[in-house]
Amino acid sequence: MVGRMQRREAGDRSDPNDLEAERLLVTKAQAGDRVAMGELLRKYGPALYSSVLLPRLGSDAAAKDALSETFAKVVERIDRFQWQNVGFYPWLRTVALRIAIDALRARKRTVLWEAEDIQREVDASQTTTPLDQALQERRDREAARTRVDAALKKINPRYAQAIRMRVIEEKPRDEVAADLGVTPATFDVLLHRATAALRKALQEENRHD
Amino acid sequence: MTDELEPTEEEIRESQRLREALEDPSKDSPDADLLRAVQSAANPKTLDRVSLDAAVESSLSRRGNKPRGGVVIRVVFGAGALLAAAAAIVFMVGHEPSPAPELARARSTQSLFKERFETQGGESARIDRIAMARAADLRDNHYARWGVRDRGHR
Repeated sequence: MVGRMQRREAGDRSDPNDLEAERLLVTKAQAGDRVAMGELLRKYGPALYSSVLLPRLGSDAAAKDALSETFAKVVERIDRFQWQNVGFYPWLRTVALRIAIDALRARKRTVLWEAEDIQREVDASQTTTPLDQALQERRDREAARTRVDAALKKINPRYAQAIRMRVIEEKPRDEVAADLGVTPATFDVLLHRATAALRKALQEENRHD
Repeated sequence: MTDELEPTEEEIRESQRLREALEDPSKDSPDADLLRAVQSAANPKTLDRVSLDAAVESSLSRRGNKPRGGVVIRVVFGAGALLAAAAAIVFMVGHEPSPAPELARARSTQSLFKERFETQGGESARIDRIAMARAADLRDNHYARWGVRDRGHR
């Protein structure tokens, strides 16, 4: 019942025929078929990158490196994967999350996620019913946006507005400055102060966790 | 509060640096990195095809190099092996070796630091800058070896 509801919420992309085709691909990949393995990685790589790795690692280069590491790990350990009726993606996602944990532990700069946050996600993935790709992807994106909103709520609303307009909405500098009623040079100072305030808020939050 | 206080000289310098780094991602700035992390979480970009193919091919080629378990077949060398060796020599002599890709080499980090160092502090930022530049070199070298380097590269 729950699975059927999840499929409906996900736009019913877990079609039984698609799942059966994927199960066959996985079986072939486990038997050493490189074409089948390549097909699986190409199918899910974009979702792993843009819904799992890039939001958590915060940089294109780090996310691409992590994706390569994820693929290498998946190829190495494909024989350990046991088929579940929601497909291959949940397992791939867990492998990617573990790679992201290592990457976050090695990094020195502030991003929105801490390694411990992702460890909690991995723990949760072991104890809850796995979701199919479309639904999981949607939840991951919502979680990322919620995290951004929560971080911006911790700082002065004018700072949050500056970051939202310039960085998230990608509006031109001059336009944002005009909307905020300041000169472009003053807006630069405002954005710099907003970034410092955001970093401080994130660091304080991480100290309290 | 926010923009009402008069900015200090250092704030003006730092805000200028942030603006430049946001416009030019090759410029090192922890502030710009944090803002890009916010952007990546709120509006993640899609993965380009070249990077996807490179990651897939790399992982599959690693698998090809991995010793695999299974039945070991002992081959008795004889006339067949000699013929194969002779054919290989003829093949190698008859073909020009393909040109090796141009790779980034070990070199000084001096070119990464055009500005003067402060007398104190900033070591982590400098190490980060070196690590990011060398990680990019490593990635480019991988892409070059796999034959998927962007056309406009270097």
